[in-house]
Amino acid sequence: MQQRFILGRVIATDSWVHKLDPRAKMTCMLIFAVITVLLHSLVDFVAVTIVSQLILLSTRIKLTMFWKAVRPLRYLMLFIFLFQLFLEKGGHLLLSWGPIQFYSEGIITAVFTVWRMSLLVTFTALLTFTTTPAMLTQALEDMLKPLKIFRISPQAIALMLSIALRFIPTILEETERIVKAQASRGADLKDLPWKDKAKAMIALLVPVTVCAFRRAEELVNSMEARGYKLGEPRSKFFRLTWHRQDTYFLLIFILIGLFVIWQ
Amino acid sequence: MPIVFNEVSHAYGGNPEHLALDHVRFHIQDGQFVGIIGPTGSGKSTLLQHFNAILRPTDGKAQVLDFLILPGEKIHEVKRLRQRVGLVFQFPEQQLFADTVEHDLCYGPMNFGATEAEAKLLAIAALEQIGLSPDLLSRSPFQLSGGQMRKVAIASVLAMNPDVLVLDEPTATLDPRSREEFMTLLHTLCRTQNKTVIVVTHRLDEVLPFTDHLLVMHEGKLVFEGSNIALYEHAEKLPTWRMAIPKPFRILQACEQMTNNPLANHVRQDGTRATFAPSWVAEQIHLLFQTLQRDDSGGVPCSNDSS
Repeated sequence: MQQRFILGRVIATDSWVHKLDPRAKMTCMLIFAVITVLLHSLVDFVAVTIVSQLILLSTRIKLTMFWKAVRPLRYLMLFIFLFQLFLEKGGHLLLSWGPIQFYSEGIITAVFTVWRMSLLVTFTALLTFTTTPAMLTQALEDMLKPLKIFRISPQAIALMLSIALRFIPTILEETERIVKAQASRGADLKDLPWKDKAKAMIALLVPVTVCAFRRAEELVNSMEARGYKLGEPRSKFFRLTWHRQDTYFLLIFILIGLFVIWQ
Repeated sequence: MPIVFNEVSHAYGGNPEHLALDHVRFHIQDGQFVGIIGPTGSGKSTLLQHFNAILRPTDGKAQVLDFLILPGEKIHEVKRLRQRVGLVFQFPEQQLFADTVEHDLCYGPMNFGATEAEAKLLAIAALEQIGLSPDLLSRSPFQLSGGQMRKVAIASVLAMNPDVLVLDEPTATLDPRSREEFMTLLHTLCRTQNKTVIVVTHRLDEVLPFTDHLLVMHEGKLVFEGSNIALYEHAEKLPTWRMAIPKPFRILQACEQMTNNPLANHVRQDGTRATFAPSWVAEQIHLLFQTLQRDDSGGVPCSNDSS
């Protein structure tokens, strides 16, 4: 089960992207997300795809790894593709078959939407492939500092995120064991018909939730036993430093953004 | 029908780099109490998931009762196999989910086609087998103590009335007394109901008093198959398989050296099962020294003298 989850796994190749400040990477990801929404012509798409794929290649991680991150979303993407294809009625009528009609605008919108999603997912995988969860949460804590004005603790948000990331593999492992245990008691999720699947899910969700709460309680106790107190000033294990490369990386995205807007 | 594994290999995700079982070959008779031992990461848990086809071999074939498990082939009536081979995972208490013990115990039998009334009878019988009172049936499993929860979880598998009971580290995190009680309970099930019991553990001394047959795993390979006494004869290999020589073995080895009298020959002549339980060890020490006194009419030679 864990092997199917690509996101959240660091692939160490020690490339220049790995060495960048995580705050720079997070900011660039946000800019990239905005850029993908703004894309509207083929030239935009091609230009952004080329630049993003070149950046992905420069991480020395196989491109296929990034594209594997899209795999879990394939059905959602197919649904969005079909949704756009059938419901968008602009442009010329290309094909009419009973109540089903395809318009040129429908095809273009459907292709662009899926393309946009693929770009976003593959490129955001760059952040998790090249940044350890510890660095990521520290960057987040740093970037959320302005929230202190509204009495929201960035430390609490960062801690929640780091614990959630840390426990994804553990909870998946436990879920897998419980799935197998219930299959041994005659409730194999793979073989059950759809209506029974829902019933069998209760036999899975209850123990998984109980395990998650038990783990949470153990974690709280062990942290408190070692003197942890939320909101207390703490020294940092990693020190974040902004280098010239981080500025260049940020500039690349600002330029892409400007290009897309100018187009 | 026995259980026969013939050159069974398993690579996770079909990737040869993730080979967890490497051409494993063994034979288990009906009604035996079998111990599968090995250090962490030796492939024990992967092996036991083959007994009820939760995992299938990627190479070789496994015959479990009258089911043949082959690589890549779906097994007909896999549900019937899983009913006949009850598999208890590590920390089984974590699989409990229902609002009452009764519902949890009935879950397995009802999945395998039992009516509610039949399932309830099976649930009561399973609780009694495991030494718990049927009064617990109406209680929530989450209100029980840790030991009781584990017993209920094992009873939930026993309620399916399996012919083979496979347990992964059933005594993990239990105190020494509960561990012994648990193993005795499993041994009683094996002897009184002729169930084949297969226990996976990394504590050799825990299963020795009960096992008829031992399998030792190391780095995905089966490195030993045989009786307790045969393993005793190969005890010096245990450290190379990343396992400690258990205390009863070390005590008897020392006595053997002192008396210059091989224990294995003596045990084989006697024809009884070597249990390596404390009382059995004491008896063997007594016999070893008694033989020495008969041969030597007194005096214990130093181990150096034997050379």
